[in-house]
Amino acid sequence: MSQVLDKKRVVCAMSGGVDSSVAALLLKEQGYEVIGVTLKLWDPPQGTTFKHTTCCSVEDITDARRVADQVGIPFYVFNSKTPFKEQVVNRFVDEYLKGRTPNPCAMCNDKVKFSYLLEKAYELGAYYVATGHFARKAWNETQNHWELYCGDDPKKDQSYFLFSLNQEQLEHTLFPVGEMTKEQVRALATEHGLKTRAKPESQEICFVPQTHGAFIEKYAPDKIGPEGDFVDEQGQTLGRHKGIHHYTVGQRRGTEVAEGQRLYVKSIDPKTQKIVMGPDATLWGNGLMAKGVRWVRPVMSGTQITARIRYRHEGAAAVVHLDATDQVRVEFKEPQRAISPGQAVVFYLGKEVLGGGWIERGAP
Amino acid sequence: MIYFDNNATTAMDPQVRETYQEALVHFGNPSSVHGPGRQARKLLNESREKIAELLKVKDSTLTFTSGGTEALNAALLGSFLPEPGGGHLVVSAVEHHAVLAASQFLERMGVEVTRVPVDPQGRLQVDQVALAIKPHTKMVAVMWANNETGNIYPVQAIGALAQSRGVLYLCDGVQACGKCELSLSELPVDFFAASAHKFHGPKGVGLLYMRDGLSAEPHLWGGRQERGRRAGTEHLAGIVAMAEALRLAQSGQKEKVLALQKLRDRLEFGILAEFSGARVLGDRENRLPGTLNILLPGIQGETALVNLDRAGIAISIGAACESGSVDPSHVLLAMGLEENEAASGLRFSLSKDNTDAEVEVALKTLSEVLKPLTSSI
Repeated sequence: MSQVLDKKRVVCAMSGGVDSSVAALLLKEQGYEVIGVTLKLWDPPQGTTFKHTTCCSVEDITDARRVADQVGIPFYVFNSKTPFKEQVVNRFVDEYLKGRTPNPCAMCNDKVKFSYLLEKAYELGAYYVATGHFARKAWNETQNHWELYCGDDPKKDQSYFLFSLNQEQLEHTLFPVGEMTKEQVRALATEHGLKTRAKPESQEICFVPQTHGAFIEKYAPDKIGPEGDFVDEQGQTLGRHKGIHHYTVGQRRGTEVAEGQRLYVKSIDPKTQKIVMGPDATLWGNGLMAKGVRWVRPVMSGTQITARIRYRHEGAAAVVHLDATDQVRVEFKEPQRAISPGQAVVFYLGKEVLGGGWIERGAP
Repeated sequence: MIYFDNNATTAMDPQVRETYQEALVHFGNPSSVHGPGRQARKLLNESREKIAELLKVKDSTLTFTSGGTEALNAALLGSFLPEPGGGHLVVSAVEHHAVLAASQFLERMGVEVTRVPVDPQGRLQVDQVALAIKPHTKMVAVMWANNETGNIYPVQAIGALAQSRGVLYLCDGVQACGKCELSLSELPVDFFAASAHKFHGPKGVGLLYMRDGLSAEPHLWGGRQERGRRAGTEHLAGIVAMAEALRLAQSGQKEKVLALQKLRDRLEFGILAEFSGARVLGDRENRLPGTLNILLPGIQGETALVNLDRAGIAISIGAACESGSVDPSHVLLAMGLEENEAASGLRFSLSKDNTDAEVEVALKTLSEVLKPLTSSI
């Protein structure tokens, strides 16, 4: 492609939520030539009561379009159903069927927003893609590379989902709300009368309206595993479960607890379809092994970092050991609860994102 | 803005706009007995007679509707719904959604539906339609001309087939009306639908022709307007304007069609010369004069559309859905194209409003805007 990219032109990904609405507004005020784009990722199930709670509903796209009109930018909807289905939804389902706990938001950023959409932006001659993520980037003059940081609002920081961004992606990305708090975002939206100013937060997984188990049963009925046994750490059968795709590590078992102490999912074995249960004390681990590791800023083996093992995890002091090019071992200072295979582990130094990977397994 | 999306809608002809505005003065309800009502009724009847004459049919065969979609739904639902759970409908795979979605609804109501495939050029074999007809077939629906490729279908042959097998023939004439020679009473057509805004008339008004002596249950219930076939107060100014738009479209039609064809061909040859490997989609021998659907190698439909829009050229791709995103075209899929190709066929649809100069500018812009996307792949 020999398309010339214009540094003043930016494609703003608009979900129909307030954060990306304000992102578009800010870019316009900063003098960019902004093209609003909603990615149509998914067809919400028709004629069901979930219609209004999933993403990519007609309501969300209508909201994004109205905000684009209010801001005064052109707006288009790009059909991105195929890459989303292949790269995010299918992988999400496969991970659960393997007894793992996937992180579809990080997958989507990696494979759709900052790759598929970035390609589209290039085709439109735009140098930048902008999103409403609460994250920041900064140019390191001496090292000549981009650094990635937490958003300034600690409650809303979304840098965890962005660990996989490489230098080219960071170069071509803008996070206009990264230095704002959510309250400031809403206040600005209100000040400008944006239609999305009072819109509630979107749910965690945009395409899953109910529980992930119910979603998978509907989406891949011929792939789901059978019912199986709950067992204790000694292999004694405790009861029956509905199929491993319903469970995640650390989850408390339903109401059928008869053993006198609360039991939690400790591990899931896709081969035997058995779910090992244990009391809370057995859920704590001192380390993990992660694969598919990518670095925004590479570090030496043995570096002391802070590791977050899920989005809402506050972070734990740890040492990271590089085992292979894209594989690391992480040793925590203090044991961590429910280290879930499939989730992302993201490495921080203070507010800076160093990199991350996908948890392969916990270590005792 | 160079407007090359005339199969989606056309600009109202200035003369039609004038007629429309003049008609708005007559506010009376055509169903009222008093003076203003009688005046409105007079205009309504005159318009019906005018259109009947242009289409060479009896005026009593015409029912005014809100557009093509309503006319097609009226024919389909009005023919099938009165017999719950019965009958068989044959449609081509490339019909407009107004027919396809309505036939899906009928399917849920117990009607059996057969979809006749098309070949890679989007052509329909009359033999295939014949094979699809069963003893209990009630209706065949094949459009006159396709909105996406411009393909013209063998209306005469399909109508004759339907007649010989004792089956009703519904012909979606929305793209043909105003562009093709129409003498409905001489054709073996039972139902025919048209929409004014496709031939420089106003939006929100259309018609259903129903062969003399045929009856279908109303699809809207209420007052006795349109001989009880379509309840609801008539869109009088729209109907008056539609009659005028049709008159204008048909006057000197042969010359206009030739000129339009020349213009389209110039665009087509220009693109083929500039983009090696470009592929015209549809039946090049038998198309509407102003329609060109073309696939440019390595060019994604969505980005082409947006880039052209931003460069001041309005075209369309695929099938617009509710949200404004574009799904692969069911017409192009039916022709055997891959999903990605079916979302990348660029449709240029020209009208009498377009000029040579516009085609020149468009060719230059296409080369400037889209060429960079094809190189070094």
